Formats: sequence, structure tokens, C-alpha cells
Amino acid sequence: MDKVTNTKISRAFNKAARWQIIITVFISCVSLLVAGTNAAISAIAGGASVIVGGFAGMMMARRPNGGTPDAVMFSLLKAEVIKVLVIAVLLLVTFRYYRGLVPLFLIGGLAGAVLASGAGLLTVNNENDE
Amino acid sequence: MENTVQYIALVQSYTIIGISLIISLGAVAACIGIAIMCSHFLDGAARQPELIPTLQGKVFLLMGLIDAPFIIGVGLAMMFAFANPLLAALH
Repeated sequence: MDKVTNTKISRAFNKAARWQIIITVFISCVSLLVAGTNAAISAIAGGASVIVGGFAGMMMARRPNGGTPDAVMFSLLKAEVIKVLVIAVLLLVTFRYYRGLVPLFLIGGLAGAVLASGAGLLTVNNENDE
Repeated sequence: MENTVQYIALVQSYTIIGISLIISLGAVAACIGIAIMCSHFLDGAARQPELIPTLQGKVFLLMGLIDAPFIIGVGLAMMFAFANPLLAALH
């Protein structure tokens, strides 16, 4: 895989991660006001698991492949599998070991961060326009 | 007392069915979405191989969006598995 592709994937992920962090912090602040510290930490845990999973997937997608369509496809599918597995394991650990968890706010942070990942598309579209 | 235990068992068994439905239907839907997108990616890459780097970034991001409902479903399923709010009413 060439440098241009790596840069494009990294830039898109950075843009998505920035929006994910902003939305997670926003949901966490709302949770802090509504339900206290444990709810805020739960929201951050939900958002952080998605961000860490996305980072793991991005590292996997950036690994060199043959450059042929099927190799690229296989690499992307592997990245997605890694991403989902990391998210699931982090959620499992959070649910299992965090005693003061407020599940509703964790789901809120998780959903906000996952849906914000589409913001990276703006970067890719802007690059295409340029 | 005996009735309460039976109710708890009933809620737990229905919860397990619900969890399995949430995860399995979410996974099936995500797989169908990703399969359709990947087929179009391969189609586009075969027609214009020079577009592969551009398409690759988009496919990576869109995979995340397609998987979003599944990941949210996994979170909900874990909530029902580890901190079932339906059982709180019985306790």
C-alpha cells in the first residue's frame, strides 16, 4: 500500500476521532449534570471503547497489502473484524468490572461515538473536491 | 417466594432470547450491508483501478457506519446481560 492511501485513511480516521471525542465529552458533560460522576464516567467508557476500537481497525487497515482489489478488500474486512472485537472486549470488561456503571449513559456515549464516525467522510469528500 | 423465583426465571429466559435476537439480527443486517458495499467496491475497483486508494478510505469509514447499529445492539445486549433493568422490578 502506498503512502497516499495511508495518509488518506489516517486523515479520515483523525477527523472521525476528533468528532467522536467532542461528542463523547459533550454526552459526558450532560450525564454529569443529569446523573452524577458515575454516569459521566460510563459515557466516557462507552465512547472510549469505540475510539480505541476504531484506532485498532485503522492500524490494521494501514498495514501493507498487495494493492489488488481483493487484497484491499480482505485487509479492510480484517480491520473491521479487529475493530468489532476490540469494542466488544472493552465493553465486556467495562460491564464486568466497573461496579458503579450506569448502563443507559454508557449506551448513550457508545451510540454517539459510533454515529459520529461518519464525520470522517467529510474529509474524504473535501479531498476529492480539491 | 416460589412465584418470585418463577418470575425471575421467566424474565431471564426471555431476556436470553431477546439478547440472541438483538445480536443475530444485527449481525445479519450488518453482513448484508457490508456485502453489498464490498461488491460495489470490487465492481468500481475493477472498472477504475486508479480509484482504489480513494475508495479504500470511504469503504473503511462506511463499514464503521454500517456496523453502527450492530455495535449499539451489542452494547444493549450486554446491558441486558449484566445489568438487566427488567429484573430490578422483581427484586
